[in-house]
Amino acid sequence: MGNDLLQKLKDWRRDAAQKEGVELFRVLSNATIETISSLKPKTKAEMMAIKGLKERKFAKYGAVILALVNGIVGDESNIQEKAGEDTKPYTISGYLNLLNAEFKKYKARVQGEISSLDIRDGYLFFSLKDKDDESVLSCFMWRRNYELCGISLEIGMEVIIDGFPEIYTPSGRFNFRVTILELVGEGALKRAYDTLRQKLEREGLFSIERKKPIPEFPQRIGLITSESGAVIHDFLNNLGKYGYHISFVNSRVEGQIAVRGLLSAIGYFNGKNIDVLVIIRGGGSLESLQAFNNEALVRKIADFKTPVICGIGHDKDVPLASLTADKAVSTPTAVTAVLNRSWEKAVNDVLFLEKDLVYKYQSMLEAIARRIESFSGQLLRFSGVILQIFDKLRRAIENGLFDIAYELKDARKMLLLFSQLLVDGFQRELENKSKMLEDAERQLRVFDPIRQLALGYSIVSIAGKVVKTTRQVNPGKELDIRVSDGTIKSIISDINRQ
Amino acid sequence: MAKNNLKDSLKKLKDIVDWFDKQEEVDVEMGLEKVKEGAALIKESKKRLKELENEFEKVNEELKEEKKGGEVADDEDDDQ
Repeated sequence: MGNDLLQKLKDWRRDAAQKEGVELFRVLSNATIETISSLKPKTKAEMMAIKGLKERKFAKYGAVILALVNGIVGDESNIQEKAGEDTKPYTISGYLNLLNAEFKKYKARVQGEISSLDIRDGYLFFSLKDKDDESVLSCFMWRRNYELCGISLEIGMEVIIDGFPEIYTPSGRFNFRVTILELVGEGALKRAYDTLRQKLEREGLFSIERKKPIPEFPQRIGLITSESGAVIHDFLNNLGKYGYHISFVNSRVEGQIAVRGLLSAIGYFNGKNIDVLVIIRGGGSLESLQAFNNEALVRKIADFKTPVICGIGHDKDVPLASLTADKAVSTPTAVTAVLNRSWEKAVNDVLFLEKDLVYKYQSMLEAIARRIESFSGQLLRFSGVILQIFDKLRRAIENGLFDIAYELKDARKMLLLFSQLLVDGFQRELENKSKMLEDAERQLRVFDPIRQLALGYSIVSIAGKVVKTTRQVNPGKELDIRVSDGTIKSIISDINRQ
Repeated sequence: MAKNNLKDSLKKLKDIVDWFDKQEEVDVEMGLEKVKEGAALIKESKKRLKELENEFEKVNEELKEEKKGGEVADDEDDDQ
């Protein structure tokens, strides 16, 4: 039963908080509820011993909590009898609290026309009258809830109120505790929309200068939408697989009633480590999109420190939340496109840069290759020129050598010819000389003095010298007289000169 | 690899590619170093951009509210 009781207490607390328009912990904390579920207090004293339950809380919720603990709430019969307290009368406050707890089951939406209005500092009273008859419902509303609705009530205005009945214990007066106010009709909504839009526009809430850039490579995403419906599935299905961490807060998104949940969800993400906050819902009329045209919500978005993307479908009038958001698109899929953009671009960039890098380096290598080719071409050209010069020189040398060889051959021929001529000349000269010698010999033989000696001539010489004149000799000198068969020594006795 | 590193890696890669465009004199050695650096950055970036499952967490609002509010705040009662 413990778990059943805990769940019942939680359900009751949720209803109570919703009906009162307050946060859950303002009714009872989790720890208090768990202690009640565990200890199952049967009396006020037992209940008051539980931490978190003071006199005022007990006065307000004590009766219903005891009824829940005893398992008797929900039965329409006498609660007192069921609780076994038939002999003891209720206190007035106890009974009224019991009634109020029961009344909270009669949560309702009621439509009517404002017939009286009394706005005080912290709260307001107004009466709602039927259009068709004179039935009147007295209403009470906390001022902060009223302001949260973003509607300025006027007498004669037709509205829908959301709340529950209650009896104000100090006066015993019956009221309808209003938690939410809605305008009725597209015309009224449109006028309210236009008025607020102009006001916020004048304040510069929609200006581009205010908008924060959506960060590149968002990873931590705060997501606010309803968990029911196709929108969240469209969003999750179209979100790329880039390791996003999505923190999701479920919130109502339909009608004016969604305002509180949306504000609470945005409040939750305030200061959280997220890169971007995403608020999405499908398309709808002005009436269904009322929450997104709520001033408090719009200002909350405007004040949010992290970039906000709104993906809210709409007809003609762009929701004021979208106008205020840092980025606005019309569908959840479009929001994913915004989130995926930098990631997809990075994927393409990496591929492109990879190709580009390879291409650039190849180009560099090709440039080197071209340069080497150019150098080698130049070298080839130079070597060709050098070879041509060598060839020319070779040919010149060959020609020179050939000429020299020819000249030498010619010279050789000339030498041979000259030598022959010389030899011939010598021979002839020799022959001539020989003949001349022979002739001379013959002449010498003819004129040989020896031969003359034989003829009787003699040769006189003195001291080896032939005596040709008398002056060569003197008397007394010895003469050698050569004759044909020898020499005669004679001494000069006289000289007879002529 | 953190997303900033991915951003930095892409920036470095672009700088490397730009470096090649700015070279008037071909420096193959330096070019090879740049290519090696670029290849490492590409590898690192691809690793990060490889399909990675998303994590989905539904926030329990009740728990959150509890922590935020602490003990019971009994400061608002009917005051009509």
